[in-house]
Amino acid sequence: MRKIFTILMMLLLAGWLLAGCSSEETAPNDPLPELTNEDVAHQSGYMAMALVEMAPVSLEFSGKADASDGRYQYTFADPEIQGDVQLYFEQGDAPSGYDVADYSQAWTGDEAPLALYPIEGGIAWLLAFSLESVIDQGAGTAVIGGAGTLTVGNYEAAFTVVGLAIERGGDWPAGGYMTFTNEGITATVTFDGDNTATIEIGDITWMLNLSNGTLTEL
Amino acid sequence: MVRRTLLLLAPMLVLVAATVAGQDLEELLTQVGEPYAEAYSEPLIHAFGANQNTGLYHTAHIPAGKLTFSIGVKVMGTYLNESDQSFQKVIENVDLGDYLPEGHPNAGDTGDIVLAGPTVFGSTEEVGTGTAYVNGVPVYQVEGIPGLLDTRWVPLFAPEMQVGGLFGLKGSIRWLPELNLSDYGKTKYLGLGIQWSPNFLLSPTFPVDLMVGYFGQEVELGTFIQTDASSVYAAASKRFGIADVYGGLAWESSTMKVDYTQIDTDVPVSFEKDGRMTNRVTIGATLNLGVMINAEMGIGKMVVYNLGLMFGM
Repeated sequence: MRKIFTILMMLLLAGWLLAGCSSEETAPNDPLPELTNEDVAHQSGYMAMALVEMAPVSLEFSGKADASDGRYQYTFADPEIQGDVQLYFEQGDAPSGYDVADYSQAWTGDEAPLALYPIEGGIAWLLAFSLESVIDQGAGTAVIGGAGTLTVGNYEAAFTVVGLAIERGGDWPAGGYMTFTNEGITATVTFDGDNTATIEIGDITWMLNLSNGTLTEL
Repeated sequence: MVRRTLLLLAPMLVLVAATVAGQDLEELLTQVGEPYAEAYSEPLIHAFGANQNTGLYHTAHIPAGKLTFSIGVKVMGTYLNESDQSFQKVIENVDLGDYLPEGHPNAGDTGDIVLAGPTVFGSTEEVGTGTAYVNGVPVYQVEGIPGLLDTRWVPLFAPEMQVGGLFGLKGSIRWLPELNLSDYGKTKYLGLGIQWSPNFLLSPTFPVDLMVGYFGQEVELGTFIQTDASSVYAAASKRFGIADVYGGLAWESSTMKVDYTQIDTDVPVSFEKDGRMTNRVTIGATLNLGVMINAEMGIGKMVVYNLGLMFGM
């Protein structure tokens, strides 16, 4: 009886000890290098340029012409953007063809972000998003909103798109803005209606040339 | 006969397994440079040293005039912190020319390097990365290496023999025969220790057994890994029926030295690091059931467990 009691006590003690202790961390877990406002301005600028490339898809889809369930897939195979975007079109709350739709959704699949190559010879930035568009077929316009993430190397940025207005055949967004946050720094990118956008972080303002990515502090 | 054969065979199998693991680790490390290898190996360095300094005693009772002998095996395991399965090491404001391939357009710039991925005990499916940044923009990325073994338990096995009983002295040896492997070199495991109990100088009614001791060990896996570990400790134990309950304090040190040549650059890499564990509290118990079975826990900066099986008297 005494032996059994001793063994039980030891097992209880062992269980208590196993449950309660943990080793210190030994592997380095350094914070990422601090980003400057200008670093985030550059990143948000590249993101804005990618948005300009992608946005027309919801209005000017030119892929498969017939999809009874309203679902399509568009493949980007440009040097700067690569990967698939999933699309869904509807008219009057029912699935429809893209050419008659008054509403669309665009998103990247799970584990299948778009790869952006903003720097020649650089590494891919991974873009995941879910956007919605309200489409006016008669006027040939759409207004886009939504959110997503952009993985820039080891950094993970988040963005939201609000009221991004595009026109069929137009080269540049007619209006709208995007907020872009990385490492606690938030940039607001406002599309000026031409080939420029204005980026603001705190009280610093830059002008972004959407044609070539040049950033000029104002 | 079967039991004796198993006892002889088990340490050899353990040595072969450890050697194979060492070879696999060397194959992985030779694909990366020193900063990556050092960060990747940190959990191994700290756990290995803590393991070596574990299970050095299983009672403080040493007779003063009765010869005792025991032989068996000690199994140690460090339970790593969950975050030790991955790492992120940042090297800021460096000349990227030292890290980028020759001719890269950013080779003349100052930037940051971020090394990240699984550690040696992290995911074996995921591969780490080394990324160079200029102004927050990644300009170059190279693949790192996957984990060697996806686990939070870092084990070590040690065959051990103890002889004692004269004037409260006891000697211990941990030893494995040298293996000479082609492409790898010699493997070696040797540890020597001494313990002394002053109880024969104290009153026979003294309530507990006391003991102080020292143990030093070295392990070599070819020229690739060399470790040293030593521990000075004081312990006490008390017998309750078939069980000896024991506890102690230890002051210890350990070092691991890693040497290899990086394959793609042919650059020799060498680094040496001290183990994180420098002192510990040990509590444990030994059951005397004809064979001695002990279980203990060592608590310091690392948490280490030990199970031992010793035959003898």
